[in-house]
Amino acid sequence: MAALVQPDVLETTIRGIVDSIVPPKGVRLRRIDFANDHSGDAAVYIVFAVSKRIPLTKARVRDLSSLSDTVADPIWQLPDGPIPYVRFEDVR
Amino acid sequence: MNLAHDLLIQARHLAGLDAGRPKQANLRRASSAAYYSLFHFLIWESARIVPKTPAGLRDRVCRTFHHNEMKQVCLPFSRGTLTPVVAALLHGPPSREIRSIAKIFVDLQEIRHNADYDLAAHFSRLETLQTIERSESAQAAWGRIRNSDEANVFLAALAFGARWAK
Repeated sequence: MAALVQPDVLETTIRGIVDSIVPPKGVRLRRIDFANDHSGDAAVYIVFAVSKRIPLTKARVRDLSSLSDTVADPIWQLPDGPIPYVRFEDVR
Repeated sequence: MNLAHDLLIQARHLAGLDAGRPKQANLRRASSAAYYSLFHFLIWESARIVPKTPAGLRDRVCRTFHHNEMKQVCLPFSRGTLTPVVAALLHGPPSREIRSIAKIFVDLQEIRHNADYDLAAHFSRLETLQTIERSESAQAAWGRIRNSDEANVFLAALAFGARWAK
């Protein structure tokens, strides 16, 4: 029974990776979803909320691309890890 | 390649429409176009390994590429854990550029699928612009490794898909 309530090691590792990253101003972690992607591969969706109050500039877009890579790269390295998809949602 | 370039222009145009509150249809089409730009860019590059003649041969070969097969080829490159066939041809791990291109292809394919089929998904202008920027970034990265052995191996793997593992 104890095994059933132990958190999945991979999931814990991924949550640890995401928690260790400090997002830029106006961005915060909203949720982490483990699921299969459109072709059935194991995936993890890391969704950040982005404030709409910060102006939309090229630098802002590049900052978020950089955050995507910072979050996803260590997950890509995990043996048998899910495919990381980093997503951004607007919040007012 | 003109089609890949034009699709990026189209994506930027659509993402910039509708000052204020953008229409979901435009952002979805922009996201899809950003993926298709990279898709066509890579299959056109892959067609370079096919003879130029007769006329139409390369176009015909381009039609044999399959989205999911290309994704499955990109996964080991993304992880840096190459299949034995690929590892035997390369003398070291994949470069940062090829890994980045592979990762972006996988990511954009998922976005494109949601853009075209998931009616519950909501697209923001910021995220759409980021999708376009990543497609551009992958194509720029390709320019830096285009003439390398690993680029040739990657293209061959994309072209032959699952049959490559035999």
